[in-house]
Amino acid sequence: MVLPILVAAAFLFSLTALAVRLRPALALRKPDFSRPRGSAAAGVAYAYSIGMLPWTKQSGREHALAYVRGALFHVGIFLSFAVLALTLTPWLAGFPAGQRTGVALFLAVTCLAGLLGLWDRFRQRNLRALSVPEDYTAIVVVAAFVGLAAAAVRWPGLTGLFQAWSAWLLLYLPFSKLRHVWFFFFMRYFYGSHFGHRGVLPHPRMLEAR
Amino acid sequence: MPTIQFGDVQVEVDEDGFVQDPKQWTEDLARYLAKQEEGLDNLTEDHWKVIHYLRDYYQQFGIAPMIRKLCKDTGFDLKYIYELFPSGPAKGACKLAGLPKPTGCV
Amino acid sequence: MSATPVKEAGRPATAQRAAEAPAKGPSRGSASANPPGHDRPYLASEKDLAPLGLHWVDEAERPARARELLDKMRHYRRTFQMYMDVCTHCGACAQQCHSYLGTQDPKNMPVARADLARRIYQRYFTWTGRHLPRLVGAEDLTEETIEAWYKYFYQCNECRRCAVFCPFGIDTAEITIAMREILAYLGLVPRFLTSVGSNVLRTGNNMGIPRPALLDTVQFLEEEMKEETGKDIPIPVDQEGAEVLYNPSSSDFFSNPDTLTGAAKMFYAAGISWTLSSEIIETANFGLFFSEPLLRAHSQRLIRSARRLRVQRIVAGECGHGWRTWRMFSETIHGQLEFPITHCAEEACELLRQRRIRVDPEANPQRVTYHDPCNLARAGDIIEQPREVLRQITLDFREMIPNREKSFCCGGGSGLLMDEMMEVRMQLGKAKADSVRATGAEILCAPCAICKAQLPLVMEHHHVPVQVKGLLDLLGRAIIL
Repeated sequence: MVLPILVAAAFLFSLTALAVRLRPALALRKPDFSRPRGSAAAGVAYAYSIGMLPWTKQSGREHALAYVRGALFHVGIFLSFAVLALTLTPWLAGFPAGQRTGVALFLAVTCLAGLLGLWDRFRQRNLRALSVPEDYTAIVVVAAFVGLAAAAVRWPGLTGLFQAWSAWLLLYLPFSKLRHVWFFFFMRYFYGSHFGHRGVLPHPRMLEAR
Repeated sequence: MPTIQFGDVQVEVDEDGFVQDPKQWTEDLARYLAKQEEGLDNLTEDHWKVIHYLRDYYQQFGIAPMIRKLCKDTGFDLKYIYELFPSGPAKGACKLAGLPKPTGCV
Repeated sequence: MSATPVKEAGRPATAQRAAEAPAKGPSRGSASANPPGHDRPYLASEKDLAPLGLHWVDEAERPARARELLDKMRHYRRTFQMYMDVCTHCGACAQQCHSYLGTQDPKNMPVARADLARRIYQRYFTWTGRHLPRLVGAEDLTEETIEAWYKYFYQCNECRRCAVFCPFGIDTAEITIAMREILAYLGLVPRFLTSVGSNVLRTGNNMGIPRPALLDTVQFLEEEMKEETGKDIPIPVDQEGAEVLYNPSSSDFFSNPDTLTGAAKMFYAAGISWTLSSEIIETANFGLFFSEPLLRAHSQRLIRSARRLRVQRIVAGECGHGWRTWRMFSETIHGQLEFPITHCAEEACELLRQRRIRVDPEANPQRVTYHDPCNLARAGDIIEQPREVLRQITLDFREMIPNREKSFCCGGGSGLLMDEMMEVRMQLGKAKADSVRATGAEILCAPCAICKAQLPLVMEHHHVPVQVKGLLDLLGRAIIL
């Protein structure tokens, strides 16, 4: 019973710390009185949809691979949070063993994708040059979180360990670059509304433009 | 600001070699700058025609003339002006004529 | 008198000057502050700064002052604070930045450039940076930091291409704008920018063209057009009650006259009454590049002129960032305006659609490609209009790749047109040169004065045989009068 309470407390702490961090920036809203050239709403819709697709975001095969790897890792992370929520309920045990094994395998793959990212960061000269120690520790903490989620789904006996690690992750998060989990959605919103208002995105022929 | 010692006067120039005070300009200074900045050993009649045109225009209007006007009024095309002044009308000819450096999106 | 320069005769003058300069960046120990090295712009002197209300800050006080300014900046711009917090060092921006591609300097990756500010931000304004600086790479603010700021924030063209590719949408251009503003308050501004700035305050245009010179030039161009077309095509100045205030780039009065005569022909053919204002013949607003007060002052001048002349709309000339400031900032600065601000490309496009002007594409038979100036394509919705015009006034129009919001910068953006930066400028232009070469075009249409100043040099340097022209230049050839 202690662990679920710890997880919940860590979650609340995380959310509060991030809100405190974000509040001054959000409060700094400066009005833009210029007549719109395009639609801010359309820009936001674009930023959250087409604007995130690999061919609009990336270029070249090398990057496409990195994109798939990164996307996979992030799907795994969000799935792990779902798993975490499920471990706080009695329902997880209700899933048939076959399904649980499937999910665990998928999570293990996404965990591997995260670790490959770590490897990439280490291997590529430029990436290594601009990395700070926290860029590595953040991936380790999160990859372990996903790995433990996989383990907990397959072997319920490990749930306690998974929950403990989750609490640690949530406590660590606001102090780390991992805060982007929360900031991301605001950033995409600002990006979309800004470029949308100015009529830059989306424009009618953006899909053929490279 | 760097200076060049020229005869018994000190002439202030900027880092690009443009004379800071157009009043300090003399024909001798132009000859000196031609050698130092443009690698020209002597100035021909055509050089002087451009230089004097620029100076006259500057004295009347406080700025260098439009390049096309310079070409038309001297009768030299742009290609020939580049032959005369390898750095071109703005960075070469204006410098030798003691005009301030044309600035802005040029 | 014979010309006998006594001091170090025989040595090139540049070497003499270089010998007087100290070896390092923005330090002001000796008579000349400027190093001979050309990876950063020459610094403005105190005299250059004065007209802009800026001052030197003593070297010893600079780091402390910089920290204060950084603190102010994060409380002034929301985006700045967000951009400092959100980056994950994923590196997606690196290969998208022409500055990094051209210079191959890892500090020119947008993420690394932003990190020059981010590491300091972390150190002083975040818990982790204060208590565990090494973990997050937080660094103390020192004189070296400021030198790196000056160097690298003046190797960014503020083109915003990285913003389009960043998974979060971090706009490094905004960081560069903020950091250059901070540098300006430390008294560290390129002399090129202060010279333009004081010209603007004095005359209302970048080149410093006074009214008599303007009138003389206008008269000359009217005669030229008469010779060329046999028609009396006016270039009116200060005509009250005209329909349009046309605000060109002042370089149109020096090196790009065809852009101005193109506009004159367009208005003449469409029967639109228009005027220049001798108070402001400058679309460019270099305030955007280092000083918000200058940006506001120039903007006020434009709106004042338009009101005095009682025009019905302002049409911006061929300038990228100027369009952005006029169209996107004017109403935020002045409140709702009683007249719209439009761009000459959309004006031309509209006139063609309404068949108020007629054109003959045979006048431009060469293969033409179009360069999207950053601030038209990524900040102001001038994307399709110039293309629509070009398809009608040329016979062989080719798109270059990449284009539109993914277009590469010319490498002169954000006022990096200083001669001392020539080597860097050519590197910054490399990505664009490659795009243009692949089209096989004979004419490169670039409707922006900075691009028009930068691109001919870039194309020559990278051996791309192409002529650079404005959109109105080509329209002026094709228009049927």
